[in-house]
Amino acid sequence: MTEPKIISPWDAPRLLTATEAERIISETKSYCGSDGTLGISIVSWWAGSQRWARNRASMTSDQRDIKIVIFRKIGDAGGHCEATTNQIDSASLRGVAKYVELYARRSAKPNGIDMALQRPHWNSAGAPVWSDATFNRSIEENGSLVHTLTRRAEDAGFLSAGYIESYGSNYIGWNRDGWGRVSRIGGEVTQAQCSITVRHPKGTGSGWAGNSSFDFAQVDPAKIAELAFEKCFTSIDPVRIEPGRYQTILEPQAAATFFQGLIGALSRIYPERGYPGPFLLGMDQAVSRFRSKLGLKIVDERITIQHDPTDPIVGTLARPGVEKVKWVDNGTLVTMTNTPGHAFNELVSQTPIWPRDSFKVSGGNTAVDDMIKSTKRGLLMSRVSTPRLVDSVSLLYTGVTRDGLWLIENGRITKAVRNFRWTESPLFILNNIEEIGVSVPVFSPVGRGVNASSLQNSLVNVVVPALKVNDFSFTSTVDAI
Amino acid sequence: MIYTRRSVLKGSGNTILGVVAARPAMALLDNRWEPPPPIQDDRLKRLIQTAVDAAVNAGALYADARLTFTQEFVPSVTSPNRSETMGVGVRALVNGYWGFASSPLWNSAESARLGHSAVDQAKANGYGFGKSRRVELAPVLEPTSGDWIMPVKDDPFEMSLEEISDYFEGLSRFIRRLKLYQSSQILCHFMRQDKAFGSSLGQFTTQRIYRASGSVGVGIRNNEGRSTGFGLDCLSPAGLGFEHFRGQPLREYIVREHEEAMRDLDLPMVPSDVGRHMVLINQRGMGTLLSQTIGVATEIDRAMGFEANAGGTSYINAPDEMLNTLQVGSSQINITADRSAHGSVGRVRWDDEGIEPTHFTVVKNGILMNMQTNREGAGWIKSHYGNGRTQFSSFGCAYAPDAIDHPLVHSADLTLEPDAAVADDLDILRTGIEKGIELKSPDIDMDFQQISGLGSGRAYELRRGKRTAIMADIGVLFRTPELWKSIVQLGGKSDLRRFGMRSLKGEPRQEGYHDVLTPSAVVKEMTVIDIKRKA
Repeated sequence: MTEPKIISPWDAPRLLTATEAERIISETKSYCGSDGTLGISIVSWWAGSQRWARNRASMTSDQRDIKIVIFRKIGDAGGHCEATTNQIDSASLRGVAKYVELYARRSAKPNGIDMALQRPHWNSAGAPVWSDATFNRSIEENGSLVHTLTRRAEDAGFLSAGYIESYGSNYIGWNRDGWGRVSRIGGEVTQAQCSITVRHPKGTGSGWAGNSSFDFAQVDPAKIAELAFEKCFTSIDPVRIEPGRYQTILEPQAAATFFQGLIGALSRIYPERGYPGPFLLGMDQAVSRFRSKLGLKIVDERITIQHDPTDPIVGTLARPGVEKVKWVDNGTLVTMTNTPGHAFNELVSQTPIWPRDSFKVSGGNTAVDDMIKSTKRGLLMSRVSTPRLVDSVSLLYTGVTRDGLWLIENGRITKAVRNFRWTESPLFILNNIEEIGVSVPVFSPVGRGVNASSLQNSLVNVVVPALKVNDFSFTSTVDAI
Repeated sequence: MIYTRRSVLKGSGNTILGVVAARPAMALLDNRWEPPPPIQDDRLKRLIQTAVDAAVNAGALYADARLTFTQEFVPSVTSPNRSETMGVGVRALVNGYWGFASSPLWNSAESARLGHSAVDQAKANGYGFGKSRRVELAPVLEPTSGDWIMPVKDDPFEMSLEEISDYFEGLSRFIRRLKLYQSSQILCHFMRQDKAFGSSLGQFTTQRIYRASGSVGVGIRNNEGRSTGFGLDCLSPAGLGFEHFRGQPLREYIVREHEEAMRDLDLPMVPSDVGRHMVLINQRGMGTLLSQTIGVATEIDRAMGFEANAGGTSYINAPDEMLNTLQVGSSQINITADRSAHGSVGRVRWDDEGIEPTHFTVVKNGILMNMQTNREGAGWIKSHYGNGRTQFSSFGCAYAPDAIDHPLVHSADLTLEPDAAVADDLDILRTGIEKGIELKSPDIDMDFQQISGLGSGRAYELRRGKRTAIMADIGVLFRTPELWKSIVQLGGKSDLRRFGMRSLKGEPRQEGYHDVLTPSAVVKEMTVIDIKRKA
């Protein structure tokens, strides 16, 4: 039997074509009613990846998938329905649309009106987020690269494990709100990532390095391999020292974890509704309202945290609520996130400010080497893992160090030390800064197949400096190396 | 009287309400689009064969292919959420290197393309190395063919949304009538996955698995403004249908937990008693500990460094030397694994390499006996097999969430054998503690070798066998080997409880599910800290 001719994105292209995406939207719309809210988002993605361990590639993959999500809501007071498929044929789209139409309509409240704050918007021209160099990498190129990246470790008798991935995704979102206003977003992003762990064969040392960017050319795998090897080589046979408070140099990857902890707590709703938290100032008796710490100094005045979608380094996608924002300006909290409902009901504002994962921290100009030279006794921390919030009021986290922790004595690194469990708050760290390094991008890849409704997370760029801080709290030793 | 329309809807719900009528996913078979046929359909077997043949013809020494049709359902009358996705994935082994290709399209041409692509990927893997990578797959002793459906009583995908919603509405009303009620949240999620597997060894299997999970959280507050909350730990992921909810006496459990929460409101709060203490850990806590320590550490790929750049490595880092010799716990510690228990979330008839999982011993009398393996992983410790001890074979731990992802070693269902000599349960164990601490379902954070850990959660001060206070901000620090050697008493058989666990591993990250069946336990001299105290 002759095989049917398929018009399929899988024949050659790795992603859905724009024409096909438009066809899907147009067809899906035709299956749904013209009232209420209708949202259609389509994300197609491709990922080519290489994984290796013990100096040999262990898996090479070519994966691709689609996610079509249809959201339907009729009336503000009614319920809503959402359905997902990864099939693009007419019958499947009709099935999805029929499903959401049925249940949205059954839970509808006819007199309600959709209060969602929408306005027409397009993906604004921002920083570059697409790279042909990333998308067009061949498997042969990556295979050869893995060989190169593992050679140094293998020649030295060490064990290298790592992962490189080229990822490309396009997306289109079409939305019609309860007032009939239509908005669209769409675009395409790439992401390249490379991370490597080098370990001593007897497990007595470990080093890690990684980077991610929309552009493979900016990831620099060779440098990552070298850094991971160096960190492993210099961390062999760590000695045990006492836990306690140490002047500590946090390399950018370690510092990023604490900045992320701070950024993640910047919701305006909680303090203004009186929930205990780091940014609740208290009750303003004059107006009987809870006040947040907006406008108050919360961290060292050398710290500015912002996100500009048009920044060529930290830039991501832009849309309403994901425009240029400064969270902390010279140590002062100037912006917090808020949802459409909170913005509308309590702030009389038309513009919600969405949380986002990308950000850039103002840097200093002190090199890590210079930080080491000026340290009488302290620790150099490479990376942390398993951070967990233990106190939401003081923003206190606990976690462990990994892949390199070194003792600094009289201006030089004298020995590798055993890992520690730490218990510390980003607010404490950022109020005890001694020196600030140059801001650099760190490893911050995102998952695959992100939903077009959360586009701010399609690409994450985190740019942070190394920090030298006083009295960092290490609470117990950890045996893992 | 509980509000329900079940009797009205039963039997007519599907057709009248169209719950299962709207099928998002379609397959292109025989030149036309159609709803995905039953997974046993011969045409799907041909798709698998096409992929495998393409890979073998392109140079694969071994190839396998999987098809998955995954349905997920979050029932709610006001905001139902449904997902149906399909996938096909092909894996090929060439010169010791693995290649994998996947996409969502069920179609013959696509199957062939993926077979070729997987081989291309595998060949690229070895590009530039100039030498092959040695892989010895544990043999498939007898190529398996067969079909299997996980037995469930109430398939949620064949029930009406209203019937399910009515049940939860009734439960919600019951909860809202509780004394001192303040807030509540009920969540549930259902998954049904059809999976077909075939390989170049002639294996061909199909199976349907189910997963049901949920949570019930309730907050109460007394007149003095003091509040507390409780949840049900019996709704962790399970290999069941809707009977995971309806088949359990949830209201009894809620009443019991509510009474306990009311007693908690009357208990004084005391600061954490920093030092070394006898600690009673409930079944859920022991399950989490088992999963996070020995469970993860005995995954063979983790032990061999294949997860070094992802989740981490293992303190069992030389399994060849450690098997049959390493003492991982006291002599009363016996841990077994399998994937066949009814209701367990890890249950399958065949793993994602077509291997029928076997029951095996992980730890016997405190000694490490076996690692959790797939076919390649078993080959890494081949010297362990033979000599009449164990046959060289995989234990059947290969798993991938769906066909878009390639299979990795995931934990099997684990059982910590109870103390057969006693009939103790949690309450009896508590009465035997003169002075100590009770930890209820602690969260566990492990380092990246599963050796040093921190547990924290609700804790009670125990005095003369009774809870006398709630201890604030408590954490327990432990080292895995010492923890399992410091267990002085395990609960008896009647104390065993089953919990579903979710785990993440790999690059790209993929999630797996497995069960733990554990009794509660008393651990001596655990290091208790104030978790909020800095150095």
